Amino acid sequence: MEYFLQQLINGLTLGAIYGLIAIGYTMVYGIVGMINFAHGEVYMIGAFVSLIAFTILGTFAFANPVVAILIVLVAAIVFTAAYGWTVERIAYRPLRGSFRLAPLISAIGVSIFLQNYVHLLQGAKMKPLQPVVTGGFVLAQDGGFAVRITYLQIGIVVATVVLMAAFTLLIQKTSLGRAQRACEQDRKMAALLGVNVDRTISITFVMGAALAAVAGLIFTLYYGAVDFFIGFLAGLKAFTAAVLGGIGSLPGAMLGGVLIGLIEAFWSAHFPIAYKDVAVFAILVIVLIFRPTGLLGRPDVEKV
Amino acid sequence: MSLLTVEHLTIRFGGLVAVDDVGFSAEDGRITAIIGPNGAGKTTVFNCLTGFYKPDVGRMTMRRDGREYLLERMDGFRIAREAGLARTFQNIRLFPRMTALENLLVAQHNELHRASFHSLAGLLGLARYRSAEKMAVERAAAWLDRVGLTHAADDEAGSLPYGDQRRLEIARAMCAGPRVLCLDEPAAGLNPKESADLAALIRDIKAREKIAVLLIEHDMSVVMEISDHIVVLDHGAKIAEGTPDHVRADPAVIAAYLGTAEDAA
Repeated sequence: MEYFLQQLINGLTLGAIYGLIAIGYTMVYGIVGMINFAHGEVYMIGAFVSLIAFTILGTFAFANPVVAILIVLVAAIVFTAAYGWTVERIAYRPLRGSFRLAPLISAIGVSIFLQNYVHLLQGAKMKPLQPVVTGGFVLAQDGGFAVRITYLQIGIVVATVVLMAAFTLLIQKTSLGRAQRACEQDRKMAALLGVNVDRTISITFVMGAALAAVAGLIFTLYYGAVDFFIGFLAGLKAFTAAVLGGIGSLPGAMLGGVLIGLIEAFWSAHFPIAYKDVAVFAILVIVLIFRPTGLLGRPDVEKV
Repeated sequence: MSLLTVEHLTIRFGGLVAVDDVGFSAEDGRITAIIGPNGAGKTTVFNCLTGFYKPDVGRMTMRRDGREYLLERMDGFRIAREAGLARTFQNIRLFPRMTALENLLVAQHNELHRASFHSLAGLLGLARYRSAEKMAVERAAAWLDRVGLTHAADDEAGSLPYGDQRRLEIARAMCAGPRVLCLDEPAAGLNPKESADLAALIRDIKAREKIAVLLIEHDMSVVMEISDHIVVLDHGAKIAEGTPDHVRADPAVIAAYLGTAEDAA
């Protein structure tokens, strides 16, 4: 039981990271109908910006961790959002209206470009970070085994829940969210009603990148080490989470992220850890066989 | 000067001349119908006006608040936002997975967007955004009432009956605050009772909003009843123009619709 609880906590934390990245995939897919394969790399850049910002603050011997995290958060969001915006502007917008595979290929190109760009600038070695947030609670104790939840884990889950609520509200209740949904359903019609479609799409990329930046910051804090390759697998798994939850669906992305986090945590606890990725993707395949639209996705009903 | 002037409009698709040197104008408080047999180029003219196609030749000038807008040089969203053209479609293009009310709110996106500083304020619920949002909802509710869809405000647009969707699309176009309302076959697929209601609605819009209405329609009873001015197209060219009575008696129009003696032989 204690072991179960511990893995639940670990899985939720991991799932929060995947979920935050998955929202970026799902929003962009919703509005332009393409998989932004460079999104994992945008997340990796978010992690690097966080690492660099922490290091700079560290040289000034900045002590208060809460203030430090807030400063890094702003820096990570600003820089990463700028990357997200630029990628859309340079690599996707010129291809809009081209054949469907063109932006996908372009996305893979951007992904490779960003990976190598960071590789060359930062080197291939893992870059470590001193723990910024330490400490936690012991929730339960059973003989030698203590269930621990760290302050960091609490912060991660709380931040994710708050962000999720804010984004759901934004999409459902604000005029920007309505414009995004309108562009999703009929881009040309939205333009005819005076919605600036190009800008709405740009904002969507920026929002996705901002969430990826938060995920990157969380990763940096949680694992304490970053390299240029972290975006690849995390991106792939977040994409899986988006598909699992039903691509295009915001709550689906979060649900998918949490599920994948939990599957990974529990598989690692009870089965050979080397097979954890196999388990994740096997479950994706099984779900897609029985529910091709994902868990919360809406089937596309074709009218005749 | 007219509110909207179209001159020498010509569009070619490959070797086919879809619209050939067509000119007409639209005035405030007038319903101008564009009629003609299938394939005459009516919808193509609308597609040009609203920026879907760029014409090969011609000029479309919109005069609004003392300024002139050349529609052929504007991006699609600016035509709606700045020049003030709104349209509906032959095959209805509502946002099917948004509610009826939301459809009408999207049409007021620009005003809301300005009030919300790109939605940052919307998230924080600032007073200015709140009041703008409230006004937008009131306007949408008023239009829902005028088209008789208040009961369906929170229903998904895609689930509404066909006739309701037609009226909702007109309400949405009106919520965008247009100076020229372009209606593409609004009576298509409606029964006689619904057609009559629609004609009443269009006349009501003309009378109360003082805007120009451009109407493409095959239902001649609707056209003859409500139009002030009729432009007849055939094979992309304008063959007649004038009041309903004038057009009805025009031999070229009769020939286009019924065929000439040689055609029949």
